[in-house]
Amino acid sequence: MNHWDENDFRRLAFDYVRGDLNEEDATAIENRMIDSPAYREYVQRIDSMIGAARKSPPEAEQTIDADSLFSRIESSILAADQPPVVDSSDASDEVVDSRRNRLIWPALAMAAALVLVGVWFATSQSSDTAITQPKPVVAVVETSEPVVVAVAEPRISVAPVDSPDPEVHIFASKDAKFEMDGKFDKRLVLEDGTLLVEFIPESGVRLSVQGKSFEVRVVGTIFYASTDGEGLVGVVAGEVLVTPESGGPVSVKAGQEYVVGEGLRTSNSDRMAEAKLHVDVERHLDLLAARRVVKDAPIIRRKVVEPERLAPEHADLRNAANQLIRRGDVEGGAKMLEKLLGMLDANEPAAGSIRLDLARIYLRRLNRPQQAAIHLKRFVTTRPNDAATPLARSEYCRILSSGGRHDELCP
Amino acid sequence: MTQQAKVQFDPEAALIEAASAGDMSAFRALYDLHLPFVTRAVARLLGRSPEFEDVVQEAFIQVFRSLGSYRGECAFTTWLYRVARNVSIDHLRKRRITTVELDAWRPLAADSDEWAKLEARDLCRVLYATLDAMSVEHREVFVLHEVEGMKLREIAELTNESINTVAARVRRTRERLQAVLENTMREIDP
Repeated sequence: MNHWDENDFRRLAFDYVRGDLNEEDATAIENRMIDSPAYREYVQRIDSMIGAARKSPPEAEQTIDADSLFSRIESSILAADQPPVVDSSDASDEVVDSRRNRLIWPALAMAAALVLVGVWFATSQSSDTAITQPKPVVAVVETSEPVVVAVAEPRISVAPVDSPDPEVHIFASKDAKFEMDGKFDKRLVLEDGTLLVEFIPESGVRLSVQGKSFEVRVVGTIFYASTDGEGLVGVVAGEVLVTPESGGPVSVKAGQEYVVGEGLRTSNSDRMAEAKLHVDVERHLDLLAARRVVKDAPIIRRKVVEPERLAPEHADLRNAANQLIRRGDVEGGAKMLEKLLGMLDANEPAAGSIRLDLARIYLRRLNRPQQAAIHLKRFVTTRPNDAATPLARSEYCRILSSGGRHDELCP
Repeated sequence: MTQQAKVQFDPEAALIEAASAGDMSAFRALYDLHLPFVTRAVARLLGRSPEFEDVVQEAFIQVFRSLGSYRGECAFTTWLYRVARNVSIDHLRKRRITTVELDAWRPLAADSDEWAKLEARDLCRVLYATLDAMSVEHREVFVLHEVEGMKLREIAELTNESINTVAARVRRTRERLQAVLENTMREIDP
């Protein structure tokens, strides 16, 4: 017979939930739970709390984008390894360019999901760089989706200007001096002043921005940069890779600023507020959403020969799922797509397309390769003649292989 | 009779060796293999944290830098866990907690299934909010013991503390949680 007081019972509830009590003590706890509903609830809460923690916070796991994260890890590693650039000979440039290229392409590949990018952009007032001989220091942005680019000083005053290019909307300070040319490889050279630039490209169009003392590569959504001091880049939403004139690329995420020569720090709140005055984030997200409906590609870009027709109610469901995903509820969007898939004939082209979308979501957004594998396998078996099948099979086999498994579908 | 030893190819060991020599492709393969493991380890120690992804990132950077020191004395995942744990604890030590937010814990109207899920989620927040108000050492041993399911002796070995110290930290954290749970229950059933 145990002679525990109320405090003992409550203390030992943890051991009971862990299964650490002997049979006699466990029985005493259970009897107490029968006698006291309050105690039973207390034990159940501990069990529920520890159980939820054991599953780990699901939000954290779901938000990991493995490719994006690895890109940042690689950037940091290479940045730390990179020797200082002390002269501008061709040989040195080749080394640096090679390293940068290794960083750029994984980052840009990851940016395939990017629809909207904001960059706020300025030069120091005293820049004496000739506009005809710009220093090759700012970014190359490649994405098939809309991009907003801006660089700025902490306090700016800009107004819209007539842009020679309908894909590039420019807001400039009174003292801004800049030039822009190029059709598919657009080139913006900023000599002086401050610019806010919205870049909404068609597929395959690039924007190259040249500033003074740093390089900005777009990875995420909205950021600002300034040549104030030695240079500064801050991110409003998403993330960017910043490459200062000397040193390797650094990943800067939302709410952070990278100060050249100093490192990362929390964004200046005034600058963030100022940035949001000039860049209408909501409007650009809407724009992003509109573009994504058309352009968001599945993990494998399909060349579908057969028409994909969805009944109106199915189309509505798909649009609703896409909207959920765009708003960040990836889990909810995936569930909706699964529901839609259940309504469709497995052999419909649209079902194949949705399977590929789901595979991409599970793989890239939800970090659930096994669920991605299920959809990829189903795609391969139901659509053996689809143009995307070889790649889907390859991706499926890669997932299986990474888990040490094999399937007869894999050669 | 001479027994001929079989030479077995260990793909993970090959990846570790290549990655420690700077092969980024091999490191990427290791990353893909172990990202879920490291993610969970960090998530459990940190709870909901806006810096969660940064900590995972830093953990893998440390893994890359330290791979050369891995001699195979323990399972790679054990070594990996230690790296992730050290980075997480460094992060927690640097972080300043000035207030503890328990406001998220509110009973909501929902059906029984939804209710159970919401309650579990909110209780998890209560747990980490409580842990936020305690020392990193208390937090670590509690998570390792109650959440990871490690034995006190194993935690003592991992943290280089005595079993008594570890046990005392678990007990102290339980008492704190006990008080928090009792208070929240009173809020619902005054």
